Amino acid sequence: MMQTIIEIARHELITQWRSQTLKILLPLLLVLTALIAFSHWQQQQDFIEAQTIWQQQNDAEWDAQPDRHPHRAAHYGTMVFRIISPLSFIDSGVNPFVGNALFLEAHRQNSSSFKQYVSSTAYMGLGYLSGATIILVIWPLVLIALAFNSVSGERVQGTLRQLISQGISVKQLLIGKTLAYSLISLVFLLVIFIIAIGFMLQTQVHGSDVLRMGSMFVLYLFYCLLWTITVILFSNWCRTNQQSLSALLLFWLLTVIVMPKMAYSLAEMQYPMPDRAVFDIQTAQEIAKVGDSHNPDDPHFSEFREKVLAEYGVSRIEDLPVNWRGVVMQEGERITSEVFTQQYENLMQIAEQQNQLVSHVAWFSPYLLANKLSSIFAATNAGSFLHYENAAEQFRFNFIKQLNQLHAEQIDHAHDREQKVTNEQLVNLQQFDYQSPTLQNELNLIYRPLLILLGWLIIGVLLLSRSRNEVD
Amino acid sequence: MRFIQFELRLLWQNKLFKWLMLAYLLAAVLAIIWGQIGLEREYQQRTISEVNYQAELADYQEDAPLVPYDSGYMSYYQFHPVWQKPSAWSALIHGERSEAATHTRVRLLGLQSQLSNTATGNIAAMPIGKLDLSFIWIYLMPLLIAALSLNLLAEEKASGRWSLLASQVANSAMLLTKKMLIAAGLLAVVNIVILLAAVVLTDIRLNGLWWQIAAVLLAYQLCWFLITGWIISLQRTAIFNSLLFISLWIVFAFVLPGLAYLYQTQQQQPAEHVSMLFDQREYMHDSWDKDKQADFDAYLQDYPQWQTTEPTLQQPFDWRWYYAMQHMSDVIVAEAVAQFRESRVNSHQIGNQVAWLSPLMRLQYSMNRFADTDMLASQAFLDQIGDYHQQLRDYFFTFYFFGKPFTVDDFADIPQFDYQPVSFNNTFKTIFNLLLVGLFFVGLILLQTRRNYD
Repeated sequence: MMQTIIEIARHELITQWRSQTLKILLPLLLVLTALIAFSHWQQQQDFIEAQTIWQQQNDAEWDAQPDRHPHRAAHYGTMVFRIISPLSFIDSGVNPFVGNALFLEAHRQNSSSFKQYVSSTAYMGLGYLSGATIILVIWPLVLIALAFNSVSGERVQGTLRQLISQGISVKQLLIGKTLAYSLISLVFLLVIFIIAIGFMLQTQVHGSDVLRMGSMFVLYLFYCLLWTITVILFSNWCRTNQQSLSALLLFWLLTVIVMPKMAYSLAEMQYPMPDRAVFDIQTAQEIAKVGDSHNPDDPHFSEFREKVLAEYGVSRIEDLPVNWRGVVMQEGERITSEVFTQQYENLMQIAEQQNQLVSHVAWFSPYLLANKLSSIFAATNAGSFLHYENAAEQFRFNFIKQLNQLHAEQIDHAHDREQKVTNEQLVNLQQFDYQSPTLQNELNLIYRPLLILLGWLIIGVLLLSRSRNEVD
Repeated sequence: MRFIQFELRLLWQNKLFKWLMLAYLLAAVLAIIWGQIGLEREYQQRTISEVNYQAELADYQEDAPLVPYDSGYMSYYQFHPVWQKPSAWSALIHGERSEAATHTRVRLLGLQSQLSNTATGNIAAMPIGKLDLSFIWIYLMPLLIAALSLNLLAEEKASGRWSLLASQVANSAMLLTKKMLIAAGLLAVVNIVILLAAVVLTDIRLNGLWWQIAAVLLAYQLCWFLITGWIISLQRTAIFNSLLFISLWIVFAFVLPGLAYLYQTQQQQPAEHVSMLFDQREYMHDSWDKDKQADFDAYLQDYPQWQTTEPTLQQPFDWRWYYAMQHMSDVIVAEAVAQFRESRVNSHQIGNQVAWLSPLMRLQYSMNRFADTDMLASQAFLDQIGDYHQQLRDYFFTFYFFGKPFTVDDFADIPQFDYQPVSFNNTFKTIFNLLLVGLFFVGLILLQTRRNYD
């Protein structure tokens, strides 16, 4: 049994080795992928270096600033730069689409739209040109081109009847052929990953990156296997070669191109998001509802004043041991930050609803599943970006809080504006120390799409092994 | 005529043909409806911001007249909405509109740091992209054309009808051409129906622009029919035809746009424009620690229109100095802003050049231009915000610099932002480009036919 399958696979490989299609397509695709990987690698390293330099410049400028009033320093603010994952050059995920510099200052949660490059990505309608796209979008097409007639061809030419009469079952034939094309995929992936590892070795490699890269390799291999099985099954089901090819191309078009786009468009229809202006307005309105720190008659702040006065057992703000303005500033900051975080969470909730809807569609699109997993493994998914943004907002709040504390404790209420704190006090503030999530943290995101993908694989294998000996 | 009738009947009996056409038509109409809903939502968002804006102004109006110190505060807090108003066609052709905020708000402070706001949106959706009518036209229609006509010859041959027909008709190539023309004609009719549906379902009008877009679309269709014709003329198997076609499509739709993007990005330093934010921030905050009066004097030197103002600054704080420094923080980064602008436009131009090689890219660039949803439109929006900010400055500075109270009547004269679309488009260039590609393939067909007869 095993012997036969291996013999079939060997025979199929020899046939492919002699065919024009493989000889042209495989080297072409490998060269293209290597070229892309090289240039993305180079750009990624440039970007990481640039971001690091920006961060250093920002920190140096913060340290070099003159003695300043703490609230001045709070508006001067600080910038943080998201350093992209070292695996971005294989799967760039959301990186080309988002701004990676955040400017943090008092009262405001700015995200900057300075993307890595100013060029538009809209013209790559079939997917961003990256290694992952070539593996997930283009390679299935190559598999289709190589194998669409692998069974239907035998049937049309009558060789299938011969094989069966020799005692080979269709089941064995299908598994053997699946094995052959999986081996071709394996070679393709191996070459790409060897090149990728070559790039990675030029920098310091962390253990977690090795794990991530390994996961990507396994994922891609599974994905290719799933496609191979799909192609072989279609080829077995269809009566003619042309039918098999048309059906497979249509299947590819629907599951890889149309369904994903349609799913997101539908989700956007279903769960609309406020645009930038309206989001800002809603946030401002919510803040105003709680309290306006700049309005002397604001009920929230009147109450807050009474509370603080009672706490210190004094009757006038001038008698407080701390600077009332700094205290108010911090209360205002607390409100803004809380409301903003809440509003932003609402916004992300809408995005989450959209993604939920898409994840239902993804049951039927292995591409969507693999694409999601791939970007999670590469740490370039939307979640990794939002995690960073969230951490930056936390940091911003604490950063401004420390400045407000300086304001309350070091600056006298009388002649507030003319006073300053020393540069040293500013330099001593805590710096942003970002820890990106590990794969273990993200298991809850991973297991579902992975299980569905495995489910499809099992169904595919079952279908293969249940194939009956039909000769025409 | 009878030939056409016969062929039409034949096509009508062809289930695949019928279903494909129907699916195409349905998908297109659905895309139009979705696009229109999206467009109407943009208008609704704008209404929300306008209502809020008027309410905010009305609040200040209650306290009018405002002395310059208070109206200075007003400008500190008051945001003015700016909107890159979408054209009617943007419902069908979304273009690059998701890539930057098209509706945001600005105030009288330094402008550049306000413009770096990101658009809200589902980040996870961005790499996948939108399904709008332009995607169906640009990317999917070629596949439809292939499905309709690629295997006309191969199928006829396989069914044995071809030898019969070819023996009866003198010029078999002519027969094939006629068959293709019928398929092309039917698709053209469907496309016109879709365009007319757009007129009914959206705010698109049957004007010159409509005709230009129809013409470009038909030229694109012709171009792909010629490509298909060339493949047929090779007289290979149906399988070979399909594989060759799909390879060409991938090159035009994926490889060339991707390489063009790669080339565009190679021309840039990553995130080079962040320095704009740095410089602006340094300037703004350093000014607090410098000699305010000296800076203000220098400002009045540079902007003589404000020279008749009271030259001495009020202590401890003067809005005139504040807004002057905010303005200066824009002035000192003007060069970086100009460079940013040039990078964007340059990148757009490179893409536009590469598009000569790919009819698919050409149509996309052309469509996005028609709908005013491309980089040029987005840049025009930024430029116009700059102009608007200047108008706001000119308006409010009159009150601050000449000590005028801001009265109830002055609210009505606050400048409003009104986006002016970039109105040129590349109809002739596009048609020329598409015909050029078409002619190239006609040349190949002629060459091939000669070879076939030899």
